[in-house]
Amino acid sequence: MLIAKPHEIPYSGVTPKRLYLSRRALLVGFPAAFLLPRAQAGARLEDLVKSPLSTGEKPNSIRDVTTYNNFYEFGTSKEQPAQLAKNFKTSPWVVSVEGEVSKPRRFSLEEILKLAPLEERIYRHRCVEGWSIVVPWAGYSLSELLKRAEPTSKARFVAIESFYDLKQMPEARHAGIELPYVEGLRLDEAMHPLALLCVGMYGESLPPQDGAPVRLVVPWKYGFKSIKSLVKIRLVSSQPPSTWNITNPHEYGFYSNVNPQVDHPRWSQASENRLGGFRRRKTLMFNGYGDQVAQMYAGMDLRKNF
Amino acid sequence: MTANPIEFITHLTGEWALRFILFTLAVTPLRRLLRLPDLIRFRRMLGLYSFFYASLHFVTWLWLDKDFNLHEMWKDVVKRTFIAAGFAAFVLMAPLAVTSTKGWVQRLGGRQWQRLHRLVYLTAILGVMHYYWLVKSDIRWPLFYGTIVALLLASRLAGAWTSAPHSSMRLRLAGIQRETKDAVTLRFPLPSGTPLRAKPGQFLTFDWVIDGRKLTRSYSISSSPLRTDFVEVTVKRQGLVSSFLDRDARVGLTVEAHGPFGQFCFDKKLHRNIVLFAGGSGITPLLSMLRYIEAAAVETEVLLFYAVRSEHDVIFKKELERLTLRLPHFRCVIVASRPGPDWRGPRGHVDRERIAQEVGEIGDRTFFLCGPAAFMETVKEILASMGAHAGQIRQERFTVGAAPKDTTAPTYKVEFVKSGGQFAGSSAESLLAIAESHNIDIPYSCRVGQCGTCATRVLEGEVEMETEEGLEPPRRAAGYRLMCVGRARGDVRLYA
Repeated sequence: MLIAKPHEIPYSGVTPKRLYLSRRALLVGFPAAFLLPRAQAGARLEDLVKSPLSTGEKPNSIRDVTTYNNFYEFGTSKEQPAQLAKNFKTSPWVVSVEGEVSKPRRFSLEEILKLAPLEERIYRHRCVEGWSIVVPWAGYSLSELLKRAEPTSKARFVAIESFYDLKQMPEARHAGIELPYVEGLRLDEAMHPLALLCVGMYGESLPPQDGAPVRLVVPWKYGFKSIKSLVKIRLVSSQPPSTWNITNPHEYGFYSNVNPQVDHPRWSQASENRLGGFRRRKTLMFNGYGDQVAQMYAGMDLRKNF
Repeated sequence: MTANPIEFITHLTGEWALRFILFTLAVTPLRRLLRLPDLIRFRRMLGLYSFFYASLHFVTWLWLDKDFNLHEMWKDVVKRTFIAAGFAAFVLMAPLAVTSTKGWVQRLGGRQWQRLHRLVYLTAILGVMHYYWLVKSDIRWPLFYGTIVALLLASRLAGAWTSAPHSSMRLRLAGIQRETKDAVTLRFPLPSGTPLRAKPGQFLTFDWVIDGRKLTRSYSISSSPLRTDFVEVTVKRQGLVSSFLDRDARVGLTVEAHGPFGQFCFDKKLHRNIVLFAGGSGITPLLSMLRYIEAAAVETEVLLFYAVRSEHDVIFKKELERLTLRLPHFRCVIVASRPGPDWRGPRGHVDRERIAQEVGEIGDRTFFLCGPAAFMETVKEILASMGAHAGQIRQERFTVGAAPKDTTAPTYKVEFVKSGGQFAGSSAESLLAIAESHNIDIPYSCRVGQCGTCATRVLEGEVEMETEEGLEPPRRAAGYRLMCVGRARGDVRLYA
């Protein structure tokens, strides 16, 4: 186990973020200056443990990750969530774990933050739309939380639900998808160490547009599986519904593992565009996490179970 | 730029390509709606902007997404409906961009060019489909653009149904035939496959450009309207245009023409028995009717009175002789008022006695009159006194040559509200002429009250029109009057 050095320089510590962003704004030009979010006042997360599960790839800039978001509850364009989620109320926050568990529990955010040591995990993140990013997330394996509730032998899947409130999310009425957003994993997927219960990024708590205060990160699956701002985790015996699968079952399957050989009906998944660059790169099977996760799908037809 | 510059550029260029397509398609309805025909000047530029953005959009995709791998590109086009739609939209734009120049309009001919450029409708539809199939769930924008395209296309359908089927075309003079000492027939080939769709008796309006000035004149079609290879007009040479034609009319001269216009038409279903009255060069629309009757083998009884000064003024003499032999139900009476000693036909005028003698009963005959105003007035009086009712008498209203200056006519105040000018204008002059003499721009086309282009709202005062055939009743009720044939009957305020 790696021990973090105390007081590592945070990503935003080199230059005050506000200055850093405004410097960018000058470079990017006049119109972009209006699109830039105000610096998110993210709380520093102390004593992050570096995870051996991290990739060695260079993370994207925090600006990429905070200005280019799919969060349909806050608008369907990439720029809208940064603006419209600004005043999203994330405290108090409770996550309920229920269903096929011996100890159903409601965890407050404060409890979640202290449940297990927070790790920094730098993951590749591949969107179904064909772009990808590398993000230093903060959190711990989802299994840590699930274990506390003691799943019963009947539990075979987890069904996860996002927060939904039209008052705070007025744009959600135009999302074109059924809300609240729901996602699901097979129990073995959910218990896999890579499946991250995420509370922060870049050494700070999550900004609203990235799924504050707590979200899931499943790095070998397309980004929409990594449900944001979650409030309910229900252990169930049969495969739960998932939002994009409901919206368009021909295009989005339950598994949605990153797979360069299985195209989205409307576009190829063979390559991806890493944000911040201009060249496309080849997409890797299971987003490059095949060594760790492929055995879970041994013998499955991934073309059928897309 | 966003964090995803490729996507940003792709979406930006794609959206602007679509927007400019919509702007381009909006030009024609806006011209009509705002009565600003000059907007046409922007259409080519807007279309080219759209093609420019579509090209950027295409190249962005080909380069940044497909890395110039044409095989991969083609695979995507074939496999993915939304890419196929976008690709097709772009490919269809290319020939339109190439042929957007004046030179190409002339080379293809107006109609052919217009037909080709209707491809833009398909491009617009495909562009919207491309967008609609691209978005994941929020279809508001594609629906928005789709609605606009639907409205723009619907306005065209509505326009095609409600407006007369006339258009503008560029004609090239291919032949000049001298008919008499002061009449020539001008022949203009029609681009292949583009019939004029004229009715027998209609006219065309030509914009002659003489010493840098546009001069508009209308001429009856003298050839058969069924001809698809050429159209002919017969022009009496007098005044400014005639000296221009004397000097400059050569094979190869091109001229902008509008039409066909006109309500002075023969209808083979309605008119089973007709009497034609021609005075001088008024023979031209009537000859077109005769040629039509011949070509369409119509069983109509025709009697032609043709008033001329002398035997030297008989236009189409040979053609009339030929038609007399060809048509079993056609009779021709040429009356000369001052013939030479060798003239063997009737002398004098087309008077009551002669009409009564030749026509006999008025019956259900229809009378077509074309010639100098005094001639038509006389014939009309005679026919009325013989018992013909107004509905049986059709006359071509345009007078030959400019109206004589009437200095005794009263002068009124004419105010142009939009242009902001107030002038004294003679009640003998058309309001269009008054506007033109003060450089106030009122769009016009036929200048003879037939096409409706110059219709302008009269805010105050009374305007009397010589004819109102080109004015739809709802517009008339809304206060519109035709400026080209409208004259002030008191002080007027015009919305122009």
